[in-house]
Amino acid sequence: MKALPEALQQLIQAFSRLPGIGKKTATRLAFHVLKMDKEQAMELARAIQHVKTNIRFCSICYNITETDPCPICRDPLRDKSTICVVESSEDILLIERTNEYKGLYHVLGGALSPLDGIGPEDLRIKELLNRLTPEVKEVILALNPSTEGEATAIYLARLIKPLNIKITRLARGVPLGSSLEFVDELTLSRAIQSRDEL
Amino acid sequence: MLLTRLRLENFRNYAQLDVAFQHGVHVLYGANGAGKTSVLEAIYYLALLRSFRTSQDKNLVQKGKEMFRIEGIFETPQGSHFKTHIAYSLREGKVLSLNGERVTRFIDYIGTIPVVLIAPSDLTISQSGPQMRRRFIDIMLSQSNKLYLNNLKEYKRALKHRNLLLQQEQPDETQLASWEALLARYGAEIIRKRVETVALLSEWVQTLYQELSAGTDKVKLVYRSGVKNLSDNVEAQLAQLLRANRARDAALGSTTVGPHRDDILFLLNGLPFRQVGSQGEHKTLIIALKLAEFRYLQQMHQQPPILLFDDIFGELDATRIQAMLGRLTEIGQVFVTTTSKNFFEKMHEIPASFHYYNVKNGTISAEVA
Ligand SMILES: [Zn+2]
Repeated sequence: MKALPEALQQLIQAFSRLPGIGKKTATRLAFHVLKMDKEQAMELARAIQHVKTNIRFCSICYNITETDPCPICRDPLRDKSTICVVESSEDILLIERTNEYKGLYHVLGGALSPLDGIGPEDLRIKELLNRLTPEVKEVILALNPSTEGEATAIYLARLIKPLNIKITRLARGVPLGSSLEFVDELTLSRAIQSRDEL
Repeated sequence: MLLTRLRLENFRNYAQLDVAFQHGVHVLYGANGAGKTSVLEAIYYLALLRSFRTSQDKNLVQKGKEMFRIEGIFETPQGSHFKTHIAYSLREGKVLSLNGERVTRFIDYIGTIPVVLIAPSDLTISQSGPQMRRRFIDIMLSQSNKLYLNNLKEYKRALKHRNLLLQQEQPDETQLASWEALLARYGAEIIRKRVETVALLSEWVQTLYQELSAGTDKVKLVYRSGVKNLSDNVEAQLAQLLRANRARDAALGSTTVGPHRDDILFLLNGLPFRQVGSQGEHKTLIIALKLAEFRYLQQMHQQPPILLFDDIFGELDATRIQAMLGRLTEIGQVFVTTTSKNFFEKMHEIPASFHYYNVKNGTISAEVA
């Protein structure tokens, strides 16, 4: 490594701090940047700078946004009586893509996990409770179906229940349009357990 | 399911191994430490993605090496083939692929290759602590029920969370109750399945035991749980017990109630087998229990599981083994390790073909019949 110019070494180091990138890949990426034409490389640098200076958390729902409040919270057409609680901003993206949901969101920023040292005070739970004015009629818990997501859903349900707000969760079942033979066994077993009455 | 080919690389004392198998009984003979058990261990690993001799995968890597590979080619009862490949490296852990495609969720794979193992440690199943008996039922059910395997995995994880939370100075009550609610939910599911299965096994073991011993002794298996009333709402009782035990559990640093503390009682004519069973009766019980496990997996998978006998012939005499093999409705594939192949040369009334392999210092040579 000694043979490499200092600036290049710094870039390699920076890349190798990214998730899933080892020293080898970092080196390859750095050399690629070196070969890029100047304008392209500057564009990359500016994009990184822009993200860090212009993107922040919405002060209401904690979604990532360029404007505060975020476009969803500001949208007069969204149903203010429903709040969908998710673990991260990426989840909002997924739900928005469905075009099925017209309510508001709340990003917790993770799930309870004593093993990782994450407690209620590390999540935006107090902020969620503060939003539960009489205007809110339903809270949808759309947490990940992991052990931690489940425990967090139970926790939130326990806090919200006394407020007499309807609490719902995402149904878990067989994806529509896929034939049963392509559904994995675990999903199918769970779907059978949580079957609906017709 | 037939294992038609096994390849090993840097696994235990095998630098390289490539060996073909077929239908019937495979007798692997050789001196102690030659590597017989490692072959069974590799087959078991292909089925359950873990060893039965160690809980640490790194112990399976050949000394001085960075990684091991196990590859198995299997033939289904319908005649199609698939390839399971496991690569484990000290740095990156375990990577499983099926026909060249990576499988990230192990739950989706476990159970593909039903397997029954009889190892020396099983011989004390009716005499040692409850952990062995829970392991027995968990491994059997994990191979036949994805939901059970999933519940078990989630339960164990939630258990770690609760234990850690209890260690905090002043744990948040609502959070504690939430983890307990989750534990109670998974725990009740696990207990329900175990109770139902133990009742079924109990009937089978009773009949098999009487057949094997040509006697009239009554053998019974009873599920023993910290939850008092198993026919009532188990989830509610479990949640209540967890709550009541908080102080004690916090002091001990572990959770003292739940399926991870339950037991299966073996009774001989109504009395604990552990107290009244003779050595011979214990051995007969193991055979009956393993036959019941075989039958259970056979029914669930509609094919005989692969049967692995690991060096138990000092303990279980040849007559018992013969009685066991003779009782299988269908022999698919059997692997036995032994220091003395003579045991098997007398067993030819068993309706299966026998294949002999000499194992020596990390090499295997098939004997030509
Ligand atoms: Zn917002």
